Amino acid sequence: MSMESSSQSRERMLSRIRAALGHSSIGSAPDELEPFLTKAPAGNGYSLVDRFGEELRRAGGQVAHVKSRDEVGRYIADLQIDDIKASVAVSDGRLIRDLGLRDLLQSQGSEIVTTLAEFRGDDRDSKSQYQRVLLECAIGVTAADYALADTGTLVLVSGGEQHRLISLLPPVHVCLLSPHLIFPSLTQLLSHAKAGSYSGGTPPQALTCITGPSRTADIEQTITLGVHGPQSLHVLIYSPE
Amino acid sequence: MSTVPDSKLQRQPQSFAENARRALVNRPLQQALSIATGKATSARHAAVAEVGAENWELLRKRAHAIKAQTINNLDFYLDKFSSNVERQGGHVFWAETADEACDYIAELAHRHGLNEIVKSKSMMTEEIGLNHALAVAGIEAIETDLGEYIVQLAGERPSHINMPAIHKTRGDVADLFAEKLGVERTEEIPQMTALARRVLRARFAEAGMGLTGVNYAIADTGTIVLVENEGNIRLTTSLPAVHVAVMGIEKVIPGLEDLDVFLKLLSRSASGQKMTSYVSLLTGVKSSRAEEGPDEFHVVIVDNGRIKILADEHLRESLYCIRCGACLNVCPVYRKIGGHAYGWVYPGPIGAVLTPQMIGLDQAAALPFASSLCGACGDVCPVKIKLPEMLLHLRHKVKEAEPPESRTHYHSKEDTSEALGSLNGFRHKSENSDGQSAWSRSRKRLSNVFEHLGFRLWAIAMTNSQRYQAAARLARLAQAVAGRRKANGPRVLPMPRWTATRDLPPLARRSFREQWLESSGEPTGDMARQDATHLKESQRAEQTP
Repeated sequence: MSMESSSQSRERMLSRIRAALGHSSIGSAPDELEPFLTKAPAGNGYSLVDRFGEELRRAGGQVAHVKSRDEVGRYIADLQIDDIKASVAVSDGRLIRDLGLRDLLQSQGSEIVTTLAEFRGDDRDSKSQYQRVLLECAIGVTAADYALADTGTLVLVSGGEQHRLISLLPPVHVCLLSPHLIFPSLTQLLSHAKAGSYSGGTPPQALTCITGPSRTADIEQTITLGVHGPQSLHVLIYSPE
Repeated sequence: MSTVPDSKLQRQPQSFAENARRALVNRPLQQALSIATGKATSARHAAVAEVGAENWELLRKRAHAIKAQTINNLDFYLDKFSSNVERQGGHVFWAETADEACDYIAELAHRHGLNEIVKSKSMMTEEIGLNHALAVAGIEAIETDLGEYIVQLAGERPSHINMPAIHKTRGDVADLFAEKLGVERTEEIPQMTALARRVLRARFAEAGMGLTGVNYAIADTGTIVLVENEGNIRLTTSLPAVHVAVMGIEKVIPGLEDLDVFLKLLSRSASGQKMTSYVSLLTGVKSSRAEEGPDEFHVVIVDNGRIKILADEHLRESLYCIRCGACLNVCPVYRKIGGHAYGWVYPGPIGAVLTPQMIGLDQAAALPFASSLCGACGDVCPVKIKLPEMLLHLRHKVKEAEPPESRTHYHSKEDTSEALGSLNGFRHKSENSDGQSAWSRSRKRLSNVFEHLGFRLWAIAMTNSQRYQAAARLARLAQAVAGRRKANGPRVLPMPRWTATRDLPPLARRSFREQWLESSGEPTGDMARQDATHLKESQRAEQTP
């Protein structure tokens, strides 16, 4: 590799691109395209919650409505029916903390996996220890930051919650969702988010959209679930009475 | 897997005709292609129907406009994207060639003391021959997409842009897993999938570096967007301490607000899904070491011939491609010969356009002719790339580049007759390069003269209904007198050079017009005039909005 600096190679590449395009000098900001106004997804009399649920089921996810902390606990206990001691990883998502879900599951007899924060994950050893524990874990529980009705998609955002591995490594993913976080589509969510939380132009480091379980169709186009990520996805829509 | 993959060295578009012939007699391949392209096409069709034709067209036009905006101002948007990556703690490396990109990644792995990395599926890394380059540098690259993993275990290359193992049946995969992984043979797809999960999980757990491609790069924010179903990209970008993303210069789009259009088009076009299982938007590096995710983030921005494409106004739009694979699935040529016959990384209609531009027209002169010009590829393209026009343009360039004496069989300068004549071109071209006797060359020249004469006569007959009917009567007479009997079938006219690559159905004893006349009593001349009037009216109706 040459010792050439990054800014030199960048300048050389950009000037070759300018030459290819016939631009004489450094391009100024091009005129922006007219905004693209898609019609809001047709309601068909559905609420956003119903639409979300229907689309998620179509994508292979399962949807349940829960009204209380106890119902959440019972739902997860039912998933452990074969193995009541199955280990559960619980994220530090806000709804999960508010509900005290960790204590609840512990009192039900579940083995709760230590979170990254408890590992004081500021060095590589504790981080890889955390990863190893999660690789063995049976159920991951997170809370969604947003959801999209038109595709049945959960949106999980880094920063507030350590969601990346808990929603990915265990074979079962349970995600709590407050119905007021459901947006009609990604476009609406992104414009909301741009105006609000990251108006400075800096989105969260990781924004993950999840639509159904992990799937592949790489062998004879036959859909098979749980190839690298969870085999099942359960979304608990939480509306307290 | 200590062997060095030779994918970089396999450049065989020159032997396209031979590759295609071999593929056509490969029965398992024919079966696998038929299953996979059939399912993919009908899934896409249903997904598009649900959106509605009008909305679909709006989305395509918008995507085309966004790509045009970005590609025509690529210097501006790439500059902005790379500045934003760096502002957020990412590293950007600009690679003009495949070697520069590979060297950078190999050196990075060495610097971290790694001799293996995990990677997700990326056509860009296929294009630059990354796995080969890393193997030479003593680094094993482990493919983690199930299809790519199968192809890597078999020592092959992907034969489709997003269904890499499309050419393999479940039986092939069962044999492969039994042989390479030492497990008991099973053809159960869930069991084979679970096995791959277990084997690859172990590699993920140890990996120090993860390598991915990029679906979209957002200029406004420095975000990269990755689209997938399996979750291996999420593993690749979440577990290892270093993440390297490799992208072509054309992957950038202006802002996050442009993303939804592309996600809608890509997943429906590729697999008929409304949304793939996972879409990850990754921006810079984490703000605190206590968070999840890699400590280092590198983006490698690759030219590797793209700037040359950018300079060609006829072909610039081929950089709009979002690698959905829809043009492959509908292409009657791809569906019969599969991806390997194209001889390089990108197969199907988009491959026939990109490959000659990227590795040289002389290296891939047969590819622009590997099309029936039916136009299906252009119809399904989610970003409205004019693939059939580009194929014609490239055919023109191939012919222009040939020495004048080998061009003798095209006397007419008219575009249409050239297009028709060149349908046959790839055979002539590739056979010429095989080296053959003067006798067969002159025979071929003679038959070229006949072919040209045939098209002239055809044109004369087809442009007048009386002449056409007379010619048809004459042809039926000729068939009755001089026709040869097909095995157990009716007589057909003997045209061996024509029928070597085509079917020539026998002429019916009585034409449709004659049968119509007998049953309805209406004179056919009037019918023809009515047809013409009707056609003109419907054309006028289409033009008025």
